[in-house]
Amino acid sequence: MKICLIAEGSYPYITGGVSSWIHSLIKGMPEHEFILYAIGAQEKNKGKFVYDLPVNVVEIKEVFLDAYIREEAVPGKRLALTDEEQLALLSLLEGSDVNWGDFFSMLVKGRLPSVGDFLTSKDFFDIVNRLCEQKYPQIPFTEMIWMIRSMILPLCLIIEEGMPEADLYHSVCTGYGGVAGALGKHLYAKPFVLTEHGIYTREREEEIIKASWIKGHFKDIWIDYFHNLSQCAYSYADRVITLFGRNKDIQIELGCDAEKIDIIPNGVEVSEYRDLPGKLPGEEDIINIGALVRVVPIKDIKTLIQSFAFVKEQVPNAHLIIMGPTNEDEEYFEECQQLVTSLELEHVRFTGTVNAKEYLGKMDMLVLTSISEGQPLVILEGMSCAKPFVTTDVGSCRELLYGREDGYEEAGIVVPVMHVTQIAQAMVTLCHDEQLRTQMGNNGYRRVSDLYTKEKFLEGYRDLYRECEGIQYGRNWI
Amino acid sequence: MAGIGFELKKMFRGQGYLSGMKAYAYSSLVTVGPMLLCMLMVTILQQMLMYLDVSYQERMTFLSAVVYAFVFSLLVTCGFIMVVSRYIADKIYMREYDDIIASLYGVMAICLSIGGVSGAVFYFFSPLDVAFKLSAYLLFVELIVVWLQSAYLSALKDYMRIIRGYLTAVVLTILAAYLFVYVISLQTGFGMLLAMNVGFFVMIVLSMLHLESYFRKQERNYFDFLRYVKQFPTLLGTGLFCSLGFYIHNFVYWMMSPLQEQVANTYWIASTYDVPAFYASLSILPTMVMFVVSVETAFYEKYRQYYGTILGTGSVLDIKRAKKDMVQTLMQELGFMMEIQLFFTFVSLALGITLLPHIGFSSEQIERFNILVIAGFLYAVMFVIMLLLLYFDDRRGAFLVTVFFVTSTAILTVAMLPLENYGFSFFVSTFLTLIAALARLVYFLKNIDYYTYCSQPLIAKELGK
Repeated sequence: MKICLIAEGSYPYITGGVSSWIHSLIKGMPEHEFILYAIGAQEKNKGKFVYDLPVNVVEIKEVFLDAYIREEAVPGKRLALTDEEQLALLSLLEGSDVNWGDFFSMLVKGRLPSVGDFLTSKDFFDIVNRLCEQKYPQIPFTEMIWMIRSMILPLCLIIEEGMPEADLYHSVCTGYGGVAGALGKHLYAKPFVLTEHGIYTREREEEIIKASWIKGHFKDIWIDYFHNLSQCAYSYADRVITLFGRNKDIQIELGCDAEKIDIIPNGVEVSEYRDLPGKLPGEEDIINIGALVRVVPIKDIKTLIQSFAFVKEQVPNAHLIIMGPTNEDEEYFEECQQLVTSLELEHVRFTGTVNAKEYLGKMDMLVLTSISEGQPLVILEGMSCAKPFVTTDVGSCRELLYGREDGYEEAGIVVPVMHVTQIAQAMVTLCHDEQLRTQMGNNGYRRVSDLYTKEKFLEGYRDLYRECEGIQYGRNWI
Repeated sequence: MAGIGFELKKMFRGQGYLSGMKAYAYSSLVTVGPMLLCMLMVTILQQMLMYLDVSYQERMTFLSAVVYAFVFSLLVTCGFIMVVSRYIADKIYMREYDDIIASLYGVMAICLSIGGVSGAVFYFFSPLDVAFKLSAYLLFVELIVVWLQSAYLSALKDYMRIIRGYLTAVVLTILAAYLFVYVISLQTGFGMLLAMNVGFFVMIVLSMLHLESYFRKQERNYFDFLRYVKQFPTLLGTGLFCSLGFYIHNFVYWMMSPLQEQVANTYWIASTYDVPAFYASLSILPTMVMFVVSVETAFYEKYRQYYGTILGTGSVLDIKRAKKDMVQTLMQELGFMMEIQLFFTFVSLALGITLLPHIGFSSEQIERFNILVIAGFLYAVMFVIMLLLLYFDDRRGAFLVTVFFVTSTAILTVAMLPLENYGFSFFVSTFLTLIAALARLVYFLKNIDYYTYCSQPLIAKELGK
């Protein structure tokens, strides 16, 4: 089968949970051919892959959200949009239910001139005007029109580009990627599978609320917009896969049909983590606290550093080793370094990108202070090495450490997000109690080797793909 | 007309009736000053020629030389004037005063090359006396400079000094004419032509001193304004076609009608048509003045409010309100201007019928004068609307209107030649063009929000990208 795998802002440009998930999925399915449809943020990253693509990736199509900067426009067009098309556009802008079929048909090559011409056309202007008169009569119109343009331009460009033809579309997020998958289904009448690691709508929501460049009165519009994009993916998807129960609940809450949702958790090759190198002689007195994360705001490295400062007061021989790329958000990395300096902390190390297996064995415990997570692979990896964890209560962390009444004991301590003292306290508890560390580590090891193996994960998707092969959409109407 | 508005508004702001009148007078002289003076000089000198009982041949040669210099210098420059006006206005808006004077030299170099070469070719084949040819050629070249300078002068504030300069030139012309004809006893027509050369030369020098003293700092970006030619090619066309349309019916009569005369084997003219046309064109001057005053004051305020609302934080309702306000004021002012012009049209008709027979107009010429005065009324309104379109940066609309104007005038004039109803074609074409221009204005105003927003780039780009 030829599967079009759609990734947004992850594989193959940056490392991380979703990326390595995709990598192992493709590698684990040599019987299928993959077309990689990669949506990147910036065009300058074109072709800069941090992964060696597996041999069964037969084609890669790169799309960049900032491509619109090059978009030129010839204004003054009259497009004679039909009522349905106008309505589709209007509902997208105002955040009500969109008829995506009409929207797709309108934008896919041929029906309209270029996207630039479309956004500077009289028709488009009239719709924005109508929208403002009806819904936002008090909002500055000029800001509104610039915002709407920049908001829907990337989306329109993606739709205009069309999709590569495949037997199955598989998107690993909603958002733009989800719309791309829906478009594939719309164009070629082929099944569409959606796997959602983190909940896209929620992540964007948090970003938007924090974003300083979006003015207050526009935040709702942006949130509604991303909500709409997710709706598109949910309604088009034949099957929606999520990693753990909690996410399923949120998806249902966001309007996804519960019938469609299945859970296929992540998996790791537990055997790969056996016999990792341990501490060197002379290091036995040191307690190593490891964090295998990318240094980016969503991982909340700052809270981690602050908590460590408390730990350091009670456990002077504790070391913090932050293992993960630091170049993704260099400004944030710098801020983190400054924080370390200003707290006068010793024994905090940023290793940059490393081979995790060289480090994991040396750790006494692992921490994860993320604000948002799906099902973090690092926890599965850490559990495979029988390491205890301190994690914030996000994504499936609680499920992984405490289990869902699966008969395995606790594999770590779950703490509230951004709660410096509780995070510190949990670390201190583990530092002081070596027996607890060993016990929790072993609990985790047992859980992961029974429930979260790579074989189980691949088998789940193999079945899913097989099942989708059976889905027929009558005639191929394109 | 760049920049004049602010100064005028100061004059009008609650300073009583008299200062208002003063502003009218000033602005009229600055904007149409050189043209008016030129016409005045021709009229006076023409009267002097008649008074002196100079031969018809000589009088016609003098007149033709002046008309050719006048018309063709306008045609050479008016396209560029449109472009440099925009350039000056932008430069003043951005407070980059240093490039302005350099662009005058640049545009002079270009227009003088175009005019210089074509004028030289024209006079090379003429059997006229060399001295006469040279001074006719010189007048043509001087007028090119005068028109270009006037575009820059209107950006200055010192109206009194500008007017003093113009008046000095007029007085000197008349004195020089007296000197050349009576004291040195040059041939009368030639003497007067020479006198005009002296007068305009003085005008050029005074204006130049004035401009140089105002725009002190000099850069060497002489041809920087050519970016504007490239960026706004329709402006060049609009300026050119607007003037070309105004004279093209004369050209048709010169070349194709039974009215044609050939003077001194050099000039083709149709004096029984050109002279009424010349007097008729005087009747539209009030509108040109009115336009400056009313647009730059009452209308400009609303115009700025509208764009201010858009640039600021105006909501869709605020913009709607500001637009309604602006359109209303615009229509009021336009109506007012039409009334005033109508008044002057009637006055011109009355004066023409009464006075023109005294300077030898036949009843046929009076008829031509009458129809042309009415056509002038239509032209004046059409011209104002075209300028308004440019105000709204509807360059395309303005351009299309002038293209329509030129082609309809040319086609109608040729087509109506057999009717021997000279001037009627111009009337019909100005009427049609006025309707077209009005339709465009109404359409544009209806969609002004759209045009304002969608002529902007698609997304805000950072500078330098």
